[in-house]
Amino acid sequence: MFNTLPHLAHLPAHLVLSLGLLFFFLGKTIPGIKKLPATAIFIAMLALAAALEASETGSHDLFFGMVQTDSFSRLYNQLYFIVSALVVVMLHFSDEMDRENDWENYGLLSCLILGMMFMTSASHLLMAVIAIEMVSIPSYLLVALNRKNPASKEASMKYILFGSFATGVMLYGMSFLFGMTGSLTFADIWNGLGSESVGTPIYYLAIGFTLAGMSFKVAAVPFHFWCPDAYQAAPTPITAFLSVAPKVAGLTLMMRFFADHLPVQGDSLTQMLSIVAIVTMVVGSFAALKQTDIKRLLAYSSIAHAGFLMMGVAVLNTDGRQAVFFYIPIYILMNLGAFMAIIYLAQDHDYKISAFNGAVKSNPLLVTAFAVCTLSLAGIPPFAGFVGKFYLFKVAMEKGLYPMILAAGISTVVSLYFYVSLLKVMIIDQEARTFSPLGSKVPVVFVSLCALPLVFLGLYWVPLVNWADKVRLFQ
Amino acid sequence: MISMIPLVPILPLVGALIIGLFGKRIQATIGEFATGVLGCAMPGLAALISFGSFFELIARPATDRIIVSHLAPWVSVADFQVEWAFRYDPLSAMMLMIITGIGTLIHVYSMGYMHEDPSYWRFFSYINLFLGAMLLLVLGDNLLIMFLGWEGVGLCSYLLIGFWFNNPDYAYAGRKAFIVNRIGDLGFLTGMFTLILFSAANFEVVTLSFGELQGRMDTLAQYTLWGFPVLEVAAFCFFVGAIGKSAQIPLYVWLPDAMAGPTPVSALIHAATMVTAGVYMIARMYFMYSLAHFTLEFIAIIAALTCFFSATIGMAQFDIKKVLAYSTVSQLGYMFLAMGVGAYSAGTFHLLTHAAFKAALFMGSGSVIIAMHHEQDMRKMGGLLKKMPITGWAFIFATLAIMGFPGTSGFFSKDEILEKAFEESVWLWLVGFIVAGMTSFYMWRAVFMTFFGEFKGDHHTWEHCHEQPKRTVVPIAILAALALSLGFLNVPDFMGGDYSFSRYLSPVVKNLEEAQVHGMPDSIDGEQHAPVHAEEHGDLLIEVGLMVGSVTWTLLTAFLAYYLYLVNPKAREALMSRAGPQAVFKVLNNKYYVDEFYDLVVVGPLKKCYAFMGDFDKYVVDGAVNLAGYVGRGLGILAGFLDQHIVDGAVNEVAWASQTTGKGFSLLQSGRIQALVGATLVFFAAVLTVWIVYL
Repeated sequence: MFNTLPHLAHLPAHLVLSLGLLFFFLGKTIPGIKKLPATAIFIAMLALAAALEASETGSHDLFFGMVQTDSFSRLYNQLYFIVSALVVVMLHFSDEMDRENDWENYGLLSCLILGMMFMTSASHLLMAVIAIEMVSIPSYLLVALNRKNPASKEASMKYILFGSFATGVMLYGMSFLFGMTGSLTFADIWNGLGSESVGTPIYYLAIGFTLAGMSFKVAAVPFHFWCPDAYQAAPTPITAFLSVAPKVAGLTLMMRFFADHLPVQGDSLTQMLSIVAIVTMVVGSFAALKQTDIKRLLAYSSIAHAGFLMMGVAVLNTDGRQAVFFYIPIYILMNLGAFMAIIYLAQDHDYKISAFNGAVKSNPLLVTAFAVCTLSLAGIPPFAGFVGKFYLFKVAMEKGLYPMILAAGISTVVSLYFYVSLLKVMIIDQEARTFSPLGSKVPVVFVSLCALPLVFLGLYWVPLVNWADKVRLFQ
Repeated sequence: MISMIPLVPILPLVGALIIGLFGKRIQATIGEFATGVLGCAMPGLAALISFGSFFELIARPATDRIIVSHLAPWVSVADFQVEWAFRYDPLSAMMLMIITGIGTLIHVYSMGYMHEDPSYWRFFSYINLFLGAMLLLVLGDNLLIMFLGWEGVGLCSYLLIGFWFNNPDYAYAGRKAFIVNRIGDLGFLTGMFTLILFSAANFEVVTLSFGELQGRMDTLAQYTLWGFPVLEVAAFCFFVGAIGKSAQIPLYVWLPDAMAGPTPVSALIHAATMVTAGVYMIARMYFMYSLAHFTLEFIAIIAALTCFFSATIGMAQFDIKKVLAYSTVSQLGYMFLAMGVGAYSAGTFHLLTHAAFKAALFMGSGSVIIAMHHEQDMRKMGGLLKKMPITGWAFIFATLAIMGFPGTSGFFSKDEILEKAFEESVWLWLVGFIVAGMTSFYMWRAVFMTFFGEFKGDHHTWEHCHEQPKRTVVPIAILAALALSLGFLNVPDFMGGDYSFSRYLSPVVKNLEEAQVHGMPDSIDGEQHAPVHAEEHGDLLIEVGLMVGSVTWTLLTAFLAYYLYLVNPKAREALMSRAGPQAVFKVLNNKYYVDEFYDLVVVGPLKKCYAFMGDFDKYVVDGAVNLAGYVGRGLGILAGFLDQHIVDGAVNEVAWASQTTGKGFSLLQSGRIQALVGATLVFFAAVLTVWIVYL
């Protein structure tokens, strides 16, 4: 008889999230409980999970090599909790959806977070598939949260179809891998592939198909087509969440999947991944040029950023992992800050760029903070985005991946253009409409709290580098 | 107290932040006075710490006077390590006292000067920020922190010159200062990069800290870059930075225009502190300059030229602040002359005395300008000594100091520079000597035109002209007293002194001659004596002779000014009516037409270049972007074609699902999702093909 308790003891945060999932789905049916403040409970739950996660130590191989918890997974899990908490704040102050659905929303979010945690910890392909689905299915529903909006439902439907397609391709690739190696554990797969198969067509097909499912989560080209539609139609806080968290989870899965490769396989994998990275950043930044909707623009910007982050994955070494982790908190701050700002500047859910003309006149502080987030996204010093990009460029440079650096350079320059034209619209152009004054100070505080660390980290990033030091090894 | 040194730059920065964020509200609710007091509080505290630490420092043994406080790591990328660290030693201690001491006095003075300005709070925020940046520059233990301060003071200077930006001329002056300084900054950066480049090649860890650099000079001295010794290149580049910041030829043009800013700014930034940053930088890196003899010679020549030309321009200006501005450029020339001949302590000493007397002069002129209702033309002044005795006498005392009247501070500092220049080359001395006379002439000219003779403005102004309030005149009086007395810090040996200032600096800054006598400059031995001086009788004669000569010469020119501007103005008018002197005066009054020359040779072609780049952007870059757009559209058409004819079959499953799953699905614009998935497939197939075929 297999004793699961010792294994579960190493997954305290997962347990908390699972209980939360049950609580939010079932609790509503129990008469008295419904009156409890759902938001406060959810945030408390996240805090508890984060505390438990922070107190864990050591590396543990759980459930027959299905799940592995270590410093890598713990650090990323903490980031998921932070993002979720921030998004809950955004949800609370957004007027795009009904308040009475909070219980379901938090249930879905719990499930999604749980899925992301398993994506980060999975060390077995089956676990990876389950985790990806655990993230995907709540995402489909979250995109359609706004039930009165037909566009939301349509986007969600497209998302589902696209997701099923990507999952199908991934399962196909996994069957190849299983056929070639007889195993689904990451380490065994790479050992089984050995050195003979490197360079054969089936090697590329198997790995490429398997990569499809992960690319879908990361929104890497060519699995990015769902992204603009879903982002545009989803309620903005959900867009912000989707543009950050599942993307990061997908990257962690990639990093763990490729971490055990044999030295002889290294070059071919690096080349494969760098091609994906190049295509992703170039497509993301060029496609953003012609967007007229600010949410679509940010969607393409997030695709380009996925490409930048893929640079750190493609080098397949400890420095790369550190650089990726270093960039992510910065990316979270700048992306969430930008989304929060546009939630509050938009009127009647009109996200056309031209609707933001001259916003600086009525909301100087909010637009200033937005400008910091945007310039940081563009990678302009002294904001933190520059330092983050610098580390990514550095690891690629050390690995000698010059074409990728060239592509990243071009993409950065191109993206600068659309970020700055966004700022031009808000700051230089004449006011097109009157902006209603903000009902509450919270959005300004929220965006400023995103912008200030960006300035601080841009000047003094040592603490973050030291924190990121822990993800170098899986220990 | 020394342990509190890191607070010195932080306090004014905090002050700037508080006033910058809440100053407007404070001024509106509590009042202007409270804003001013708040603005003065932080510099005052910083000054308290600086002076307290100084007395603690001199109580220590001479060998133990370098205190480096490591605060936190900063940039740490592979083997490139830079940290937040402050270096407190006799040199920076002296600078701290100048900056915080004069800074605090000027803050107090500003409370009166900026009275009733609507942007009172903005002024104090900027000037606090300036103090913070300047202190950072001085205290930084490595080149990067110094550069941070260097840029910070440049920014503040820009903000404060253009403080009254509603006047387009003032805003233009701010931009001019900023851009000219930028050229110098490029030099500073290049110098820093040169040092990094050769450190990286020779050492495990690249640092920019002064202590480490000093120990590495020997190694770096062995290399050449494009045929020049590395240290010469680096020293030259850093000097280019100093040319920009300290307004030497050819980049001095911004400083006279910088007089557009409020007068306290001119006194603090453009006379006492920021413009001397270049001198400080050379003193701080004397170990590098001592190994770069060609650069030193270059510095001496540039300095002598600057000294001379700006003094000649100063003789022909009518705007009282312009006279002082050109005088500042000329005095900076003296400092660099000292640096150039390797007499670092003499240059630094002149920096100290100049800070006192020039700040007093500027603040005095500010007081006059306010009393005259913002009139700066000396031709409309005269006889003001009766109306403003304190300002007037302070101005006269400071003038005595700058002319080098025996016993005043300028006498000791200028005399030492001239003596060191004489030891190096008679020609350098001759230029310095002539300029000393010109200085005396134009300063007394300003005094006589302003404070003596008949009042030449209108009756109304004369009636309203009065002495300024205490918070304005007391700082001037204090500085004038300092201008008279500071010289006794460094009395030469042949006059019974012992060069106590040079000896005080000697643990951190060694003059060129000592460095050569004692071998490498980093050997700090406690038995360091006063600078080695030739004790022979002949040298003593020369020294005394030089001194008597320059005193006589300056008194002579002072009397010339007295004669031409007070006793017998007719003689001057007669002289000026002749064609020759008139032409010379016109050239000088128009500053040798240098601004016009720069406009013609530099600014004009640059503007043409911008126009060309604008066209390039419009036609070539935009064209390329459009081309990319067309390519994208072409690809889209291709993908659509593939979708229609090849991929449809592959996605029939999806289509079937969407047809059968009911009403909700009909919302899908039919075909759109197929197209997307189809495009994905095509793309994916392309990527796979690339992998298989090319990898």
